[in-house]
Amino acid sequence: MSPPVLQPASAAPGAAPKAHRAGRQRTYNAPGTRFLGGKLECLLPSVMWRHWLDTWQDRYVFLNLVTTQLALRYQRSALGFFWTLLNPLLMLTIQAFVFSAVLGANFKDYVVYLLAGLVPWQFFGGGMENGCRAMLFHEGLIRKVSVKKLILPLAEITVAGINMLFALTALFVICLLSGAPAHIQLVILPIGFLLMGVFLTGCALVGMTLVTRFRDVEHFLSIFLQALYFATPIVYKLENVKRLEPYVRFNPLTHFIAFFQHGIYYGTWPALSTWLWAIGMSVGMLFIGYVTYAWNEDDYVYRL
Amino acid sequence: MSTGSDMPVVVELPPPTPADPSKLDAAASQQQLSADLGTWLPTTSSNGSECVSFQNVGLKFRKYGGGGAGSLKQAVLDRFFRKNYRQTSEFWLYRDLNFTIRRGDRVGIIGHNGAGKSTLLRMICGIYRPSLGTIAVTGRIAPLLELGAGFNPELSGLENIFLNGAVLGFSRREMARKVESILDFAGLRDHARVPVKYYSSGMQLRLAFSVATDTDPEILLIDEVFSAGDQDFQDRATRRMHHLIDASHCMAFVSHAIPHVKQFCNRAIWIDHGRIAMSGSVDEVCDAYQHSTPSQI
Repeated sequence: MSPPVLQPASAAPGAAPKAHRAGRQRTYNAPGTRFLGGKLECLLPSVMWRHWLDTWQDRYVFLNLVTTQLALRYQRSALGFFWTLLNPLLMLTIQAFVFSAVLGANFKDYVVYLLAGLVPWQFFGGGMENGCRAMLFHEGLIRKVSVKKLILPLAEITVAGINMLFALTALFVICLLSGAPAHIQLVILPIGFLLMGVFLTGCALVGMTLVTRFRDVEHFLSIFLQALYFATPIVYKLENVKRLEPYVRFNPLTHFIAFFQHGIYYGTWPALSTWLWAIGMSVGMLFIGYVTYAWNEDDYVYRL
Repeated sequence: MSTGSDMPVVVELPPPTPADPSKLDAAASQQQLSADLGTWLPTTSSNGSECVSFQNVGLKFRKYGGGGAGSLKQAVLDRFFRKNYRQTSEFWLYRDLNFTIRRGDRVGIIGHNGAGKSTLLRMICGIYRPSLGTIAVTGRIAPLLELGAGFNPELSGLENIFLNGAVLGFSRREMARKVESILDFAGLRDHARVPVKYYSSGMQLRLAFSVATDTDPEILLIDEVFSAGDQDFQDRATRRMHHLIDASHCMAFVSHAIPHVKQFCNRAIWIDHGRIAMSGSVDEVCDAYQHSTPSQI
């Protein structure tokens, strides 16, 4: 407990506290010329810190974007926020039903496997679809007011992450209904979620830069994601693609999704190679994404 | 330690520099080399009364053909044939801009269309990063740059107040305390729940102005927004502006309406072709500007 602080004489008692952030100093500098003409100055710790401070300064905008996006989606519907749970529940059931009917697999067994891969995939796919278009969505914010542009893709990814948590809840409901056993390996789900989020952030920053610079990439994006979807063992199992297995293993998403499949379906711990791939790819991709973003940060506004 | 409003705008007329950008680049490189690492750290200005200071600021403005974004095909063609298929044009919007806005200053920025007045305000906000030089801004900025700047048309007026407040650096809780007075001043209490896309331009203006000025800004940037809004609102806005100015905030005001500039400002900067053509007291500069344009009535 600190002793009571004496009020300055000038402050009238009972006066409303003045919202005043005095002395907020900001300096905008031309890009430096050292380190490849300023291109690599983003690797300096001071510059990284600067980026982080700027991002932190706009945290309220970030929170606002996330909450309004979640609210807007269900604003005028009768069931309101209940849709966040109902929508993934119905979507997942349809997908599971169709695929099990087509593939002739045991429905109860297959449904859990499929959903364990589909839910993290929707996080990645949805995060990429929206994260890459973040600059285009929020053109008004970028061109007319000053916000840290980094928060825009981060907000989209956060929304995708929150949607995934709802979908995961729906998945557990389905698992319960289908009588699938709960494994102790479920504890690795948060780790998988985190690693995937980091990987997604890196990918989205690169994708966003490409989409903003070359609008053609926007059309290419969903095709690319569709291909990636089938290159990842979601509807099929890794052990069923004998000849192609080395190639499928080369796909980083295979390893991120393996965390969920091991935790929810197999009930085994992921292999060491999965851990190494996932950690290495997420950290590496985040680094690439950061550098791409930092190089282009001042250029985005001219590309809109 | 409050400096009165009689503090002058310090404007050094830039020396005639060569128009060749390559020479400028070289000169700037020399200048930048000395302060490359240190520049990222916020510098404390020697004089506490400086709100905005531009030091040797240059802006290389880019325009990409085809409305902003290039296409992949053109970029590939560029690489292979070493030609410019994108019709990208880069030009120096400003060269060697030096000026300071001090506490209590009300600066009118005048000039012809396309002279770069609005971009100047955007640079103060931080929307465009300078290609050369340094801009130092002390204090919270409230930008009123365009009608409905930063509004999300899908959101209600109320939600947009929170969004705009967040952009200005206020949390949701802090804004919740201000919402009542903002809605009252804007006269939009009945329309608070209506999406902004259904607002008239006058309503958008009123909302934007109310939010920006109710957040107690230290630096107010206004770009030609007084053209909308009815007479009653204009009167109230004028009173609030005078009140803000009296509370020793500083202001930069872009307008083509010389009477408005004379009414609100004590200093003026005339921008012409990316340079400061003249600066000084508002009457002198406005008169010179009006005399230089005989086509204007």
